[in-house]
Amino acid sequence: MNADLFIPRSLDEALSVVQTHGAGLLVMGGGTMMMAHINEGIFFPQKVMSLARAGLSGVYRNGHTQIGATTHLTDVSQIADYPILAEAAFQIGGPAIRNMGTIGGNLYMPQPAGDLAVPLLAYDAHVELASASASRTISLEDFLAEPRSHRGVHELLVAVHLPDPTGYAAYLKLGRREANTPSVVAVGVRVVMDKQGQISDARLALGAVGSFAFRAKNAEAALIGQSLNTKSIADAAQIAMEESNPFTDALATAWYRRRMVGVFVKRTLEQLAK
Amino acid sequence: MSDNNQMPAIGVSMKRIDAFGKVTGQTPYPSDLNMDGQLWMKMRFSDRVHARVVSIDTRRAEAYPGVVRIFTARDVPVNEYGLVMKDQPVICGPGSTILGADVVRCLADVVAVVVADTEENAAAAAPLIDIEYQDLPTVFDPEDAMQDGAPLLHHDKPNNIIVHYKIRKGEMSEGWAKSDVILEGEFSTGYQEHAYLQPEAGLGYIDEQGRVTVVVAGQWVHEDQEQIYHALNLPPDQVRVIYPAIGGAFGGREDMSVQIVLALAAWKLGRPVKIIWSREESILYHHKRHPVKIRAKWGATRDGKLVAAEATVIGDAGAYNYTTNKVMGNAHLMVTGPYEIPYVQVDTYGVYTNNIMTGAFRGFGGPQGAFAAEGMMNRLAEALGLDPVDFRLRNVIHEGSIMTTGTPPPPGVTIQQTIEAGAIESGAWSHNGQGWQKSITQQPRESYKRRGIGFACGFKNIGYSFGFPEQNWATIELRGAGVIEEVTVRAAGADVGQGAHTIFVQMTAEAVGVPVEKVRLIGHDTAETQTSGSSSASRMTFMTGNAIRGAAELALKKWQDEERPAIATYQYRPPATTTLDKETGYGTPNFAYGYVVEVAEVEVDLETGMVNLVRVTCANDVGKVLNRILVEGQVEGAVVQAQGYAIMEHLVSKEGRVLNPFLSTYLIPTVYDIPVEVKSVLLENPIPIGPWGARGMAEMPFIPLAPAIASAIHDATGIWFDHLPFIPDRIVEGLREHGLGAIV
Ligand SMILES: Cc1cc2nc3c(=O)[nH]c(=O)nc-3n(C[C@H](O)[C@H](O)[C@H](O)COP(=O)(O)OP(=O)(O)OC[C@H]3O[C@@H](n4cnc5c(N)ncnc54)[C@H](O)[C@@H]3O)c2cc1C
Repeated sequence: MNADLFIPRSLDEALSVVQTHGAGLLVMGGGTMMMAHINEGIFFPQKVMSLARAGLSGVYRNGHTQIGATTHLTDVSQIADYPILAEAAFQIGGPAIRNMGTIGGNLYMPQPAGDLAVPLLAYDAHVELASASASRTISLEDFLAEPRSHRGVHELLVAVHLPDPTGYAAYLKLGRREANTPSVVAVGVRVVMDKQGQISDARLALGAVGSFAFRAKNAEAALIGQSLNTKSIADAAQIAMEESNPFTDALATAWYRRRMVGVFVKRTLEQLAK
Repeated sequence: MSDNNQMPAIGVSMKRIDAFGKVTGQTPYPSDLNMDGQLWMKMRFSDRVHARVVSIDTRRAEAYPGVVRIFTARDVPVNEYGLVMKDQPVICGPGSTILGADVVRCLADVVAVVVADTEENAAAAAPLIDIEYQDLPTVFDPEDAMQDGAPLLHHDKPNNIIVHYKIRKGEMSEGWAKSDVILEGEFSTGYQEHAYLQPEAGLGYIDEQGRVTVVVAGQWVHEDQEQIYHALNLPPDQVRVIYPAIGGAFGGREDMSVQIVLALAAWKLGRPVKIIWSREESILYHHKRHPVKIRAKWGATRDGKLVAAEATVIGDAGAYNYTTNKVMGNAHLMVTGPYEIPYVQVDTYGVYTNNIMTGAFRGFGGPQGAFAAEGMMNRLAEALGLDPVDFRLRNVIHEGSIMTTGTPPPPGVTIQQTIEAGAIESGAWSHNGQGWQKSITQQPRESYKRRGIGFACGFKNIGYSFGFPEQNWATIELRGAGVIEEVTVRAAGADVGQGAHTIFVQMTAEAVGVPVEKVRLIGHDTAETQTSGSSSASRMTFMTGNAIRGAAELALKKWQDEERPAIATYQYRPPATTTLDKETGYGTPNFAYGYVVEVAEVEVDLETGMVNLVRVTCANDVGKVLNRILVEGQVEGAVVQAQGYAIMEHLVSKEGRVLNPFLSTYLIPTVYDIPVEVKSVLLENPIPIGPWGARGMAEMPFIPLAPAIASAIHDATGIWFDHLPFIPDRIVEGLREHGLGAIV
């Protein structure tokens, strides 16, 4: 295969490659998805840019936490301040995938992959995007909901920004096997309790049960002002099921996925109740 | 034969002779081989499930850079192949030598073959071939395919029925009248993909003696050779097939994939030609395990004696026979289990559809038959209030029992001993004066999880059945002067990864009476060996062992007569088998059986429907353990493969199209999913015709696992699940119907 390969040494260099070559350029983070497609002969890109040397890796803290786009999943799985992000990263693929795959690439993966969006939504993450001429920071929620065609082809994901975590969080992923398995459903929750033990703020994110990972906002609203008890948990589970919009694939039917939303919202909230 | 102070070569866990090369990556597999001036091949498969190929226009593809040649149906001298029935065109399209070869009958049919200078160019050119199809009516459900007026796939098979086997033993109305309890059941089983490590690949070339040569991975070099010379209309000795290391097979390499087209291209072009299938191509274009539907009705007396059994078994062959008629024959024999049943009526069908072809896969119809047979046995035990072990022991066959085919089983019937050993060694059953008792299963802490333990048994033939010619050749050469310095054994049996070559060396050393270090093996190459038959039907150790013993005896005699080198060739033929009578099923279908028992412990998550296989005990009468570590490897491998079959593996096919042809969506168990313990209980009751008493054993541990798991799930939940695979969607649905685990 003959392809032009670009390995920029800085973000600016990367952005100028993007600007020059535009639509025909394949951007690679860790390449764990793209290389599989290339090796299977599914497509042959003419131009490839690897972000591996563009200086976009690393976790920084100043006021908030910033995770560079090419930070490997293995490193994300060691970020102790955001335990469910670390947990979700650890549950992705196997060691080889985690050593190569990046957080940035993960956020571009179509469902049922893209597990990291679930804990990141629970932590109110924002993403920083840049092109040669401009940069913008938007909420992850908005980013995920943007139709792909709207995303600038001249844009790169530069970093993920996280506010300091508050409250308690839990994350569970259901796969058909123990490792290297696409999600049937992934649930991330984070709740902040007031002094009376009532929920003052809640995030409930769902993955693999819609065309992108999303927050189940009705279920979140139902939790506000409640304590975590059998009834409030069952209600939130029920509402989250109704809010999800699952699909059928080779791993699970939509019917099953919807039911598992109920089971896993219940299980994550029960973990928090303990 | 061995002198007294020499270590025996068999019965020891000898390290595999291929281990070092394989674990260090030095051993070449077919895709690792390259030759100077080699070209690359890409196959263009059918775009339609059933259609007449009206025309093929190769001009655009031929104009693509690097394209050397495009082969179509017109280029194949005798355009047909097939292991048992030559019912499949090598390449489908107009201008063929064979009637009906212009029709594609499934998506795995080949329409053209592109040869180019590089793999990329061949791949890019293949879609540029313009094919005009005329669609034909389709049929995907074998029961629909059997109806009058259904679309016909092959003109010589009315109602698409490839085979219809019968058993008619006793007058059924009498049997039902004598039964106190009668149960009916409906079972179905799914596809299974072989998922061997090494996707299909090969290299075709003309060797130094001008022979059309194909280096490939298969299960029977001489059969591949036969398929090639038949299609190319060449004299047999003008075709040579060589296997380097083989990356797994499990039955999936019994039929042709790249062999004939590689030979065709190398022959016509006079240049080396190579192909490697991607994983997707491998899953889409080689056959699968048969999905089977079984309706069963069994009757027993109140005191636990089986009286009558009736079954209808329908297997989906897909578009071509492959080994369907043999696989369904096995299902036919095994659907009533290793039991004495006075009244039996079975009808078994193998049926063409426009689905992907189905064929050989470890167990060869046995797993499907056993799923229904053991399912019925476990339900009957429950209905009769009998312990399942106890109930089986009242009904198993013994020496001289009359089987459903009206004849006794071959000598060496040890299902009773195997059941007793499996039950005891599992720790779940005990025997006291009163009879068999199952211990109480420890339940997990979580309220939504339940554990259960289940039991099933089975049997499986060793070697070919139903009169299929069964033979195996070995040659032994002894060199040296006063003492034997070097022994060469020629044996073609395929080492598909199971360790056959190691066992051949061990058996040769033992038969000749030399240390294993003195033995050199010349293996699968048609130019160097005579036929061994396939590595299938749990037969290779048994068959080659007997051939080696025969050859060693003759060679040693020549050695004693001072011949140097002393060379002898021996053909082993086991006792003859017969086909079954068309109307009654009477016959002697097999010459040897192995017996097996499995006890499975599962944990069911009542909310998610996930079934975790925790522990398996497998008791298997192998006759003689020739190499313990290899035998245990087969048990563990079979258990994990059967676990995937029962719980996890779900090939989704819609209107003839496989929707998940990737290992990321067709999931097989990984090391994290397998049981924490697989306990191999190896019984050594020799059979008289086995080499050192050995029986075959590699398929047996696959056979009863799915019904043992079904029984364990029932123990945990009280519900019978009758449709494989036990994917969580189905489990949750079943649990909800019974008001269990329900969250809305
Ligand atoms: C065996 C296996 C198991 C897997 N298991 C999981 C799993 O459990 N959960 C899961 O979520 N995923 C899984 N994946 C999918 C994938 O590997 C991961 O999601 C990984 O994080 C993707 O990251 P990457 O850097 O390798 O992506 P790449 O393959 O490099 O890129 C993916 C996409 O993102 C784009 N992209 C990458 N980085 C940027 C950037 N900075 N700016 C703009 N666009 C960018 C690329 O152009 C491409 O379209 C699995 C994959 C495999 C092969």
